[in-house]
Amino acid sequence: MPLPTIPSAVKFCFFLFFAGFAYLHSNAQQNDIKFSALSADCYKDKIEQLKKYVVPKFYTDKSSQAWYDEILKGRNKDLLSEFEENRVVKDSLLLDKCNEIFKRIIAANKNFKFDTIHLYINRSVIANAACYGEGTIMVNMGLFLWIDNDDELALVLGHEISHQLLNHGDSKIQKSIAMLTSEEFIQELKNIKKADYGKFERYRKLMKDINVESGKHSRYKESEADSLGVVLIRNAGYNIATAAKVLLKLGKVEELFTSDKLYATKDIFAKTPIEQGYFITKPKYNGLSSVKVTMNADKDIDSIKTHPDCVKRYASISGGNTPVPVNCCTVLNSSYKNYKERAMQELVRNLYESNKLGLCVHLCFFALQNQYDAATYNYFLSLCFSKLFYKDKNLERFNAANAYADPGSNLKEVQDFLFNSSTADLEKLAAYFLSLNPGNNSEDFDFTTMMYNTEVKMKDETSAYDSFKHKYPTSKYNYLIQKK
Amino acid sequence: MNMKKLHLVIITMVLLISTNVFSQSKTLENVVEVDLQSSVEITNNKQIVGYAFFYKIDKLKKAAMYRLEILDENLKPIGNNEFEGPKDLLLRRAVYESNQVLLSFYDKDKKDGYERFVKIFDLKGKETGMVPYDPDKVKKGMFGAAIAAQMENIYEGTDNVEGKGFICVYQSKAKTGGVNLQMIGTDGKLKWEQSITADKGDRSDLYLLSTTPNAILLFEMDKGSIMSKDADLFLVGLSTTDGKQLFKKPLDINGLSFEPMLIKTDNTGKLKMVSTMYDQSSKFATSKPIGFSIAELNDVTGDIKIVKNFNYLNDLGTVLDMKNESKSEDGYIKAHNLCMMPDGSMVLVGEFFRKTVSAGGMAMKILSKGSASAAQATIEDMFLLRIDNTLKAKSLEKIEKDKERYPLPTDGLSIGLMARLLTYDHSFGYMYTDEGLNGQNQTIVARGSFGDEKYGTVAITIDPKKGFTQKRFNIEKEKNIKYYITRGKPGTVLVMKYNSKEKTISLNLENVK
Repeated sequence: MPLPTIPSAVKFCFFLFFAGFAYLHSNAQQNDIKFSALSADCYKDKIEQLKKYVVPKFYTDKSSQAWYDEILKGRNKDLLSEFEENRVVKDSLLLDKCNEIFKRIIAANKNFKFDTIHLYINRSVIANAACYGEGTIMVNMGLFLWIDNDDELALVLGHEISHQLLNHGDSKIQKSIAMLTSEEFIQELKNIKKADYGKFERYRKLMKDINVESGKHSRYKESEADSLGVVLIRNAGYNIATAAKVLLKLGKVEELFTSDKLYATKDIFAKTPIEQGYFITKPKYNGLSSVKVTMNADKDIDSIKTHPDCVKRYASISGGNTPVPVNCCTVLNSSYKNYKERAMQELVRNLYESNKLGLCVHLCFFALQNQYDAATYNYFLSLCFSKLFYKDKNLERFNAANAYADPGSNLKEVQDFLFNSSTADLEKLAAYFLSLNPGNNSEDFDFTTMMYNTEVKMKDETSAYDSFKHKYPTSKYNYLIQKK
Repeated sequence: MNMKKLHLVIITMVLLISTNVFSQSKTLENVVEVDLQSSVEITNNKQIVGYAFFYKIDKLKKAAMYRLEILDENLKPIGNNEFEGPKDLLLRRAVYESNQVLLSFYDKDKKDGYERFVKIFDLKGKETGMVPYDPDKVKKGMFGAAIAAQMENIYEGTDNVEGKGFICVYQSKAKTGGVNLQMIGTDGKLKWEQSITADKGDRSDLYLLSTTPNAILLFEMDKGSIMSKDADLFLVGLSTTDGKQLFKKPLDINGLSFEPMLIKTDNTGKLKMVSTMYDQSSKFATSKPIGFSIAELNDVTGDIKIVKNFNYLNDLGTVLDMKNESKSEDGYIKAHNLCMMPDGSMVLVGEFFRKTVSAGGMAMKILSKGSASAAQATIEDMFLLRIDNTLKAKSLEKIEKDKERYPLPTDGLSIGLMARLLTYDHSFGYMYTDEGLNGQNQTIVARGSFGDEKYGTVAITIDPKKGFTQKRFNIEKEKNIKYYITRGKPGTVLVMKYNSKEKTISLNLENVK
């Protein structure tokens, strides 16, 4: 059995950033659905690079080398899976925007070496960015839903770039290895292994000490990265006061998943041909999910926050400005509309692809409510309901509906509906959302129709796929058919 | 599911759960092997509202450290706790009431009987109380247990009392039988204790029927001795406030004996008692059911007002071809449940069964010179008997399934005892009935081989207006994969997929519609 890995010791510079959400223009127009290139195809060199790593020469003793090997293996495994399993995309619009800002930062900060740094776009819906060490910086697709201008994006990138410039990742590995190879640690681990009783408690205490220690350092390092990040982007001419608003959105970012005011679920379904009884009859049953409980699990570990308070950070970065109200999810913003549209489309595609249909339907409803391109989300809604119908037949509906949302939220309403609605209603919804785009775009329409026919109407898959591939030999959807 | 299989499932389930729970410290299980001691459903008013997983995380001298995980009905962890306990502590049942969960434990290694105690936790997992039970008072009683199982009632265990707390029922060790009860408040403290037993030389068997905010309702069978086949039947009500007896009403009324099947509040707010009906002149233990009865019940005075006695021969003859008072052309009738629909109509869910002779059993009987049993039980179709809101039998819908046969331990087993034995052994296809999320429809879950379909589980959802729909959980055979279907939250079944090669299990709630 391999030596135990220590999660907090192998995770580096993981930093959450949250930014503002906005409404978009109401005059949405029909666009073709475009897919970004997936990482397994377009980042082959990076994948090869991640598979190979060398233990630095300054780790002379075998124990340190083994720990370095272990830690790096763990980190690279995580990172490698991101690339190999297509959780990263090469999206020209979003990546170009990030690189444009990055180049401006490089040009304005000649004293720093940026050569090893590369930016990537991750497909996660969580508004987040992270520095994985060795120059790999990931910006999550979900972040773009909250960003309203270049200044805000620059602050996020500046912060992550600073982690790399300050070598936080490698210094943390060094510190962890020093701790793990110390006489004291090795002896205690031996004692625990030999002990007949109380192993769990002793091991937990040992790990807790390491976690607490690393938590303290993380907070310090985050502040350090904030400071350098501000210097970098100020030199590049970005407006710090405007940029700092992104930090105020930090406390609001969960609204996308927890708010009950994003859209009226009942009204959306009222327009559809399904039976409305589900929304009229109040459920008699109340499971434990209806009781609001804040879990106290692992409270000691939870208390180790890696980031200082966001309002304090805002005050500190903006030069003592009083926090201004931010209206995430309600402000209609035009300057970043293209980026938000792009990100939303890719997020929905990813959620559909990874069978997170509850979240996918939720984002589609949110997008429609906020005047994102309606045709795109009608297609995805039809695809989701067809797939859910199919999942139901295969006893996989619960996991696809993904009912892990907060009580009372729009997301919870959607997830409950997806799980509790009859299959007849799923079929009607798949047909209804498809009917809203009659032949708007032949490839998208044909694919959605084909999925409806094979997943709901149970038509022969092989002939349907062959026929689709024959008509669209280079279709962007072909990889989904192959996967299936 | 046999115990060996369950054990395998449970062990792997904890690995899955612990990965979730210790998501920030995944390696903990490398240091100490984690064994799931038990996993139980958390119920409230007999419906599943969540799940409790209980497992050992640390060995201590003469003790162990345990971890409790509380999951909501969607299998999402909401609370947990760790505490020290005896070396082999098992969690038996979990009941929810007013933001508190009562867990009933027992220590199987106690030599002098079982050590029983309950712990009360809030939903975050914080312990709010602990009430022990004297181990000398515990003993199993098969007859009472079989009768309770037949009626889906609680022979020994716990239930919630709405708004007031929990009731714990323990079977008495006394030769005179009876039960010991403990009422525990939502503050986690013992409110009262009560014992019910027979007079010297007599025997009482009791089980818990239901609870209301006013009363703890028990079914009591009083017999002249432990071996006696006949019994006097009573409905006993205890005050939830102090445990004092509110009433003890005979269930032998006007020449008929009533064995309560379920007690529940109907759509008009009235408490209804549905019972299986027997001829009072036949001996209770061996008697054949001749119908069922619906009565209104006053839970404070115990007054029973018969609404209607449905006699299989006279009242259901229009929809059921009866050969005699207890047997139809399709066989004997085993009534499992009476579903009360929102429009006031009712649906009796049942199965037909027969006592037949097995060719193999006959051969064994000849070879053993008469000492073996040739008798077998043959379980046949299920049925839904619809009764309209004027209490008239309207139709009988059969749900065809293949016959299943079970050898009987003796040729001379009476039909009454045979029905109890089959129920206690879970040999009937019927598994349980559940009320839908909004109370509009009822779902019966059954297993068996249905018509041309292969062996599987089927959910039959009854709608007052639209007849019934069936959803089959047809599970393809896969290498190294085993599926288990058990009860989930209302309107669902819990499908557990166990991969014996990868030692993983995935839990999936499946909608029955």
